[in-house]
Amino acid sequence: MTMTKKRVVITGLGVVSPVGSGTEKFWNALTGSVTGVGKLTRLPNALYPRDLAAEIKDFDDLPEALDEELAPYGQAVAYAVAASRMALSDAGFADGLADGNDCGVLIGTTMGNQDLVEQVINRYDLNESSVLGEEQGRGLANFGASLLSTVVANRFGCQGGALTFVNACAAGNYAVGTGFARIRSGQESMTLVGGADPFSRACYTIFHRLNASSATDCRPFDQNREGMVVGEGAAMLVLEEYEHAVARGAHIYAEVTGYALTCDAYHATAPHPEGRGAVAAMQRALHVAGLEPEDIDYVSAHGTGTAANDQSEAVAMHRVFGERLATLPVSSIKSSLGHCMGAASAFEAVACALGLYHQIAPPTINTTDIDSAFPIKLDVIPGQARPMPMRHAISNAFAFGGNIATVVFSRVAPANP
Amino acid sequence: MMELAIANSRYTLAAETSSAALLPGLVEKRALLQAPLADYDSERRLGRKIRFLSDATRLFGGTAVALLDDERLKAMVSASPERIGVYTCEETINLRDDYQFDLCVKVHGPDEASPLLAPNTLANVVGSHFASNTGITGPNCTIAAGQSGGMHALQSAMHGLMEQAIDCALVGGVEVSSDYHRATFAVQREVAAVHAVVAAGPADKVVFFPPRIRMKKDAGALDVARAVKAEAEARFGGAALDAVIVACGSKLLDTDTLCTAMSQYGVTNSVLPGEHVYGYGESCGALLALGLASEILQGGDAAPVRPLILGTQDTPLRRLGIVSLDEQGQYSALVMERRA
Repeated sequence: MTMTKKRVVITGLGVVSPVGSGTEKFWNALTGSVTGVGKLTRLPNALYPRDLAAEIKDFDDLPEALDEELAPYGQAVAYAVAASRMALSDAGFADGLADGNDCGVLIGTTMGNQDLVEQVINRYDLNESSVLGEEQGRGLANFGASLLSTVVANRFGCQGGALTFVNACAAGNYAVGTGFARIRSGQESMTLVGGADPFSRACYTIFHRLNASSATDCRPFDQNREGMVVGEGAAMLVLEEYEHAVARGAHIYAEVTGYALTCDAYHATAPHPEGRGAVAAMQRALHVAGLEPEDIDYVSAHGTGTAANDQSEAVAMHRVFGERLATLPVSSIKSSLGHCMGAASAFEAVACALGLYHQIAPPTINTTDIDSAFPIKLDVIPGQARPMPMRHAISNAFAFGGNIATVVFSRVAPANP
Repeated sequence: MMELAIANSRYTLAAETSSAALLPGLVEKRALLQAPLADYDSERRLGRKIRFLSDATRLFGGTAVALLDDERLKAMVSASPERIGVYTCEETINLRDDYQFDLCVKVHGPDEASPLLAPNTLANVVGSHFASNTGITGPNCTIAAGQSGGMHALQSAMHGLMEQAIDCALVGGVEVSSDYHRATFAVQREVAAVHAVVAAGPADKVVFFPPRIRMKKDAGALDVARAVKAEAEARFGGAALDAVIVACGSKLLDTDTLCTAMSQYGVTNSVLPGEHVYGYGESCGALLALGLASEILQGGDAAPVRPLILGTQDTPLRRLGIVSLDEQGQYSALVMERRA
């Protein structure tokens, strides 16, 4: 059986991020080495000794903040709607999509609508002897994570299928990769993909209790790294079949050329120490893209800044790229954005698209000394963005449960004048 | 577009012991489907370290591990675990875990929340734990799409098979209930269903095609009828179906309108509301309908469900459609047949 293989390009981008909302602000902040990490304001600092967070600061400036139709839903829905609006407008669909379109919606998330649970508990001051009544139950009616994608689909008239991947911190790449698969196979001509996650007490506490959070910034791959910083937000991309995009004169940022999904099958929260699933994902994604490791010019790392993840990821990258890894630029934008959960790899997809388009790789900030325990010393593009020739980039995302998603992006040569 | 087949299936519902077949006694058990299960892993398939596992993890895991009793599947997992994919649909399985974790933080402070319970707040713990338990290292997807979840899980699995990234997809779903669910949602079914899906080969008597999934805010019976008509045309050259099973959404669909429209389109005038057979739930409907249809086409005794068919009840059943509609306006259709 022969599978149709259409080309898939990125024609629209939208972000609601801790360094600013809107693609221009986002990219300027990343390449300007701006941090979105600050002191925690959403929870009592006294309860959390490591009280840094990457919070969204400008959502109130967006029209979605005052949209009464979004009020019953969780914050991630509002973030996803805002980022989707921006992405569709960027792609030339500010007035919505025509009836009869086949545009699917795929959104990845970790916590989904967990903030609704927190709201109900807080609003009714519930304790362990409280019985949930009808009123409290109504407050939880929109808990289902499917609403992240279906609300977006209905808001913008997307008539292909809509689903939410709840694959934790890799979910954004799950959405990008699956969107690529759907267009590549001919199932759809356009797919709106990305990730969204709210800030929640539960999420912040999970990483606090796992001793995974840092007291002093996120410094991926650093000898003295202490952990991650919890963030929030949404990033959305419009993926489109190449001929469809060219025919309507769409602006093209980059191309999605490969992806892979694997599983460590190892532990509920820790990565496989030798990066078993990560190696398989990178190798498979390269195979799908028709590329070899030496074709990659930039790696967007998962790079959370935890001891376990960065060690495992360094080992995995070394197994795939070999000694060349010493000169292959690798950066983690989580150093700027914090770890935005299901939105994280969607932010990284946006950064890869913009990096390939502008031929600039974003930096890893805060990192000064590479961990000497790594099999090889990494070039993490420390401190400052780097203009550089970039043909192909690979982006890794690893999640609790060992769920792994890797995506390959490639530059699309500018059309001849 | 590829033809798919079910190599084997496993279900846990109503009774606590999992079973490979759905039809026998299902109609009689329907009233029990809404009752909570007393033991989510009664066969102890997951070993002894289950104290911190969520209800959904135990229910799905026990059922899926039982599926791997199948010698062919066991051999596939043993030989090439990276070529087995796990595609799980759910919607609110972590509601109780999320609520209890956050309540503990609020009442007692963050340092009292157990890190051992943290993974249960994430829905992907179900598929991931099963993978860890069995060593399956292929794609591991957890999908939330409401009542369209089962169809989406099938469609995602199709891509893995079509791309030849995997040789077998374990496509399943799980639903659990709790006091928090009962305070919030009308449905209370507890069930796990898993199908081992492969690319159909010459020996497969019953085959099905990947679903067509669409979305429209005010979608209704006419949209569903057009979708199944399009599938019947695409797969069977316009030949009629013998019946259509409404996997989920029978409360949303005007079944009279659906019957009339499908009859006018020449699709069929026989509709079986699947939820009258296996009850109402939140994500597993399409997977239960697929199992039901597969067993009927394999020659299973359809007598218990025939009285529930609206329209012509005594047609020999060789080609079936499965449709669904959810509250968000997402609708889908797939068709399947017993090969001549």
